[in-house]
Amino acid sequence: MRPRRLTRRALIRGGAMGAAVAAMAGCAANEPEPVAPAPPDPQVELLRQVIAGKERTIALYERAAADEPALLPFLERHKVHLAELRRRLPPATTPATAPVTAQTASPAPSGGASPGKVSRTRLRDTERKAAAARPKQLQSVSPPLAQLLASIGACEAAHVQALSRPL
Amino acid sequence: MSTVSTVSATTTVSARDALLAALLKALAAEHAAVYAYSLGAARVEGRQRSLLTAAHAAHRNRRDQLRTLINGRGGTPVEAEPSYTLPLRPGTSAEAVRLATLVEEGVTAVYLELVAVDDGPVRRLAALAMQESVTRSYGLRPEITALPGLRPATPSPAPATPTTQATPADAPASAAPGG
Repeated sequence: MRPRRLTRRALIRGGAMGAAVAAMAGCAANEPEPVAPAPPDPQVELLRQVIAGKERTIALYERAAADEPALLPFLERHKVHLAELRRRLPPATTPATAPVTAQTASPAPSGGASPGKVSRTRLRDTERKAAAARPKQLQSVSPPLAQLLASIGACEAAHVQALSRPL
Repeated sequence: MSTVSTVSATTTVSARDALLAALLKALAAEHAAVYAYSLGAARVEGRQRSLLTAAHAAHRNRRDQLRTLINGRGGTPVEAEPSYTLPLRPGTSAEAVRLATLVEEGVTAVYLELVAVDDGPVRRLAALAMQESVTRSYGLRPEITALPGLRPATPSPAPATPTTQATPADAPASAAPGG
């Protein structure tokens, strides 16, 4: 096959096209670029997840403690956890008024906020899962947050044992 | 003048030193815990004896795990001292249980420090060890603090100090194992 030769006319036409493309590119460069949203901070995302879980746990305990006041100390300790976790959120992501109650709780993924009596077994299972998750959650966070998560996990582990006994 | 590579190397060495220092501190705490439980377990009977004997075995296991971690990171594990200064020398079962709870508080505080190091497997071990210590403590004395290690329920005891001879039973409670 014979190679196609570039004619003088084709070169001129190509040059004009190139100039047009360059001009368009120049226009685009002068326009303000759309601001790409900053990627979410993994630590803040984790904090949000842990806070949501803690809010669900508090909601469970508030319902359970209505029938069994002996559970109130457990509820109070979870509120301490929640307050400490919220304190670690960057100011921009902290709710303006975030009372430490279940009113801000996220909906439970699997009927966690469903009405009805909350059993000790359910509370114990919630505590056990939360405690088991802490060592993994603290793997890649800042040292202070790792310490907070470890401390919360230790409290939750003690709750598991306490809920296995008469209160 | 420092180059990027020398600064990086210095940082790495510093981080490694900090990691090993925290691991060695935890190992020293476990040595002290093993010592304290060996004294305490001889003073109790029945269920309490089972609890203290199990705790003794658990601390021996953690001690051995820490030795392995230290060796694996190029450090040299510290050996146990002949004896340790304890906050109290258990003469009764109540004192043995009291000593055990102080041991667990001290160990919890040391593992909380270890959680802060930049080493995933070490962080995991420290977090699990904290959960075990707090649970054991609850088994001996049914009290729970919201943030174990971060907010001690009682005034923070001083770290354990190895001694060459045992402390008398009426010595002031100035130190606790685990620190």
